[in-house]
Amino acid sequence: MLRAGSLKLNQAEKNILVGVGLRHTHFPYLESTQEKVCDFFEVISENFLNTKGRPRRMLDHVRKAHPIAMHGVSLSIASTDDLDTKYLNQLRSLAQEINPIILSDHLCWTGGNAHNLHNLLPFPYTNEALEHVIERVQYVQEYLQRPLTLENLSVYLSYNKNEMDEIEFMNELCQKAGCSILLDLNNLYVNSVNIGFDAKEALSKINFDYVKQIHLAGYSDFGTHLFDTHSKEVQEPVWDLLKLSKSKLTDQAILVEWDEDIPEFDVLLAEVLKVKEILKDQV
Amino acid sequence: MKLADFQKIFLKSISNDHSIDLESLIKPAGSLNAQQAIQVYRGDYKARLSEAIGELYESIWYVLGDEDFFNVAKDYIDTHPSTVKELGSYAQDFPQYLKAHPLVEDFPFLSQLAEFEQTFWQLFHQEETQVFDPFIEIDASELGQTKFKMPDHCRLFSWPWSIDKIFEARSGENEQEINWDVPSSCMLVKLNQKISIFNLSENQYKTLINIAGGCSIESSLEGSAEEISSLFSLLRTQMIPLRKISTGA
Repeated sequence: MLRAGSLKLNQAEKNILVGVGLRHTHFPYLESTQEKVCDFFEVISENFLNTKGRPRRMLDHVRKAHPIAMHGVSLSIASTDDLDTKYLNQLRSLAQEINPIILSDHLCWTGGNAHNLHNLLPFPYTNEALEHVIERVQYVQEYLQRPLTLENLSVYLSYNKNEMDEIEFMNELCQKAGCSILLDLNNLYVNSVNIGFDAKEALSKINFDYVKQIHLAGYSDFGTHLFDTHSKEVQEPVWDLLKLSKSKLTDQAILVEWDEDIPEFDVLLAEVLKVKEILKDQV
Repeated sequence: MKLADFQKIFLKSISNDHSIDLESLIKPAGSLNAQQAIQVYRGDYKARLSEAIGELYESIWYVLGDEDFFNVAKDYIDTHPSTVKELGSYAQDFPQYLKAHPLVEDFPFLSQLAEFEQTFWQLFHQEETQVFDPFIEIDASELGQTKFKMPDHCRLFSWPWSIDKIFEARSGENEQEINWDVPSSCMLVKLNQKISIFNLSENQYKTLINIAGGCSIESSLEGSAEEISSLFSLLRTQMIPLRKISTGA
């Protein structure tokens, strides 16, 4: 078995962590080892809100050797419905128990309180929406007593009267609400093809002072559009975006995501090592 | 357009197949047209919820097969919008829903099977409890008058059908004929991080129900000496942690 820690960055200059998602497919392997297998694990917060069974035991097991990042999918920060207090309470409790290095969700809405669509939905990038989201981010950060990190989406439609683009929206949001960005380079590339913009130019507009975490994943080409499937290795255009970003990285956590057709843990670790190889060149 | 208005139109388009208002507000991705772009989200919603029901009620999927299962799931999703944050909590009243479904004519056990699988998942997510021999510290002369409480991670079932057999075959890995029209009783219990099913005779089931109902051991016993002996042997060897609540009359 490979060990992702076998390739060290120059820690004096950079403190970049490279990790993978904790997925049940890998529970048997992870249960069999006490060793540190990567720099950190990211967990889907919702998967641990209502369980004291095996998933939670597994989380407690990997926590012994690894920092944990909590990544949510249900905050619905851009929804105009009220924030769900029960959910926030559960999230706060879990965060208090886990003490994650990062607590993140998505810059999106997921439906209404009376009808949750369980999807990461786009919304208009308008000044009204920006003010709305700033207010909610500040409220959530206060409630959770933790900084919030928000991920850029992959989208299959966009509002035709946006007043700014997603990058401008995120930079402004971080500046005014004090949150940070989870920059998904795969989503950025998928959107550049789907919506029609230059991904490298968009990347250059991101204020990396706000970037706390990076996601890398594989997409699928459906012919009519790219789809963010997280079902394969990271593809070249996404690696290119990471290479372009690396000089701006300082202490971010980088995650290799793989959520469909999940391979053996070794395959994920090979991707982690690839990230470290790319980053090594810069130090 | 206000954010709230956009979201109302979006929700309506995804849930009611009424997308005309949304089409004029959006730019579709890639070479999709507006309808196709909206369909990406609409299809995704139903797929996610169907998948969630399939994971939570795998045994129902196994019994009904793909076509009937996805039709039932679709009908359920159309009439039960999700209000939960995590998909594992969706479809909590699916067993109740199945009770009134026409497919019950062909499969009268559907609702009870779904209820059994729901209990399985409840136990799966429960915290582990310490196991111990429930009778080890009880004087033999007092045992008959002792009353016990059943632990929460130990559930009893009895049906006119072999639901436990159907449930155990749900992965479909081993093709087998199941004669489901046979009465069955069992104990579903989480022990040492594993959920096990123990078959019980009808009398053994009644004995445990009596114990769970607060009767003393002596007044709980049903059936032959052999049935009672094998039941108590099961409780001891599997370390089912019945908790003593009182001793003596």
